[in-house]
Amino acid sequence: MFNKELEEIVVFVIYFGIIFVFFVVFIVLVVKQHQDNYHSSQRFLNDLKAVHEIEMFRSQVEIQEQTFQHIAQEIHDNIGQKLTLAKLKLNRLDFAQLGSNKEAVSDSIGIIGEVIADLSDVSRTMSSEVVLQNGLIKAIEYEIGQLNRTGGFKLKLQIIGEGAFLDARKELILFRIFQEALNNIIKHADATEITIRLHYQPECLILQVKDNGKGYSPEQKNATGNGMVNMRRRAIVLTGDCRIESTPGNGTLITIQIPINGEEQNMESHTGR
Amino acid sequence: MKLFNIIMFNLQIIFGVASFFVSIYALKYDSTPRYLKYFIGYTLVAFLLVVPGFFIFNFMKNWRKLLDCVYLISTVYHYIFLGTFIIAFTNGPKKRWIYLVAFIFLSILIYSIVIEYSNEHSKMPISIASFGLIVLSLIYFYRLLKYPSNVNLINLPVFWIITGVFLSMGLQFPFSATFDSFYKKVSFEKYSFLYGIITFSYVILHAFIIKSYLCSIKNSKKLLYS
Repeated sequence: MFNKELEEIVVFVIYFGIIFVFFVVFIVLVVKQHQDNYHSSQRFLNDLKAVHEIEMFRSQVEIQEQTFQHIAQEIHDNIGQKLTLAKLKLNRLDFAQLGSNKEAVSDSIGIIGEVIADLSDVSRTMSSEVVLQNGLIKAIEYEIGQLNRTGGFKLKLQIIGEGAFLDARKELILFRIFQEALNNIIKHADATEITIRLHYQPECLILQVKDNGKGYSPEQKNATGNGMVNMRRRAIVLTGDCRIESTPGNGTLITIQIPINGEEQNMESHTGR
Repeated sequence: MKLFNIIMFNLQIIFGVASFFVSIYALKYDSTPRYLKYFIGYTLVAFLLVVPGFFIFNFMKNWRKLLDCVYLISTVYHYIFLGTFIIAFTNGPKKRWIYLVAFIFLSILIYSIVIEYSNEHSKMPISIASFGLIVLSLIYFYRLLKYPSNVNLINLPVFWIITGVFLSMGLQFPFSATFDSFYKKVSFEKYSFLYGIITFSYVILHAFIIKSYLCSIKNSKKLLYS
């Protein structure tokens, strides 16, 4: 009887133990299903967020270009012309009658002339016409010429490979990345020599900007400023990649690689939906 | 086997006390969800039951009948508290019918307590309460999948509580439902062993309650240091 009792209880415990195991398996399956749905929706939300950011940035780039164009036009049409008129009027003055003011007036004419030239340069830099009409290489050469003339920097351009046709809009965005890189070097690098390399490969174009400045380490507080963020985002819009390599004392190398035939980022291509 | 019952009972007391103190500790964090602060109502009652229970069970065996009566009545509180908690967090619309199901089980529970009150060994009220909570938990899990919310379940304290209810009642129900028939057939020692398994189910329940509070404390610390 003792053994029969024990046997009954053991069988009883085993049966209900198995039922308990089913309960545990049920919970595990519910959790797994829910977590799969959760992670899938998180991935979708992250993709949407990334696409939204890119679309936002593309809009910002377009607005920025329009603003640049507007300002360039204003400088050329209004400010530049008024200054030219002021210079002409000053030039028409009878210098013989100016007496002690002759030198001051002469200096003013010189300064106005310099301002007109500087404004003309700014206008050309801001305008997208340089790139759209003359192409990326000519635009870069013009910028290099401008900086070389200041005497503070020694720039050289190397072109490797055969130049390939790039969509004008892409060349403009790439040119802005290049301008951003130059701005960063001028403001922060304490460099004297800058080498720009345009490497045309069959599938992609690589733009490299290297300086001999003070460099920086990624741990530095200002290591990822707005300029670098803008460069990376513009590269993403071109379905490209932007890498920045730098060590303190050894200058900085910025490498932008964009596919020559790649489409710009849009919603469908990013989310695959 | 009697030793197994004693160990399980004392383990239930340890976990019941621990869940109460962890719930008090969680109050320290402002970001502890409000529902967890209200859940102290359950851990406090559990604490008030297990502490005298420890002394009565181990040292004052004459008072055991009283203890069994108190536990029987506390089953109603246990069912109402956990049942409304589960329904409150069940996703989706049209919860009235869920309340109706819960009310039906409550009515059967109270009826069983009334008719089995004099039978100190009866586990029918506990089995009815367990079954009711299992049904409510199943409804919760079903609706969790049907109306998914965009939260990570692993970091959700309420999920751990309801899982603890489901598993503990899942362990308890088969044993408590067939307990009365075994009581008549087997010796006192063997039936103590089965009683120990029923007691162990509360250990599981309090373990999951502790887990949910620890989860909440971890979330609070993440918020604090982020």
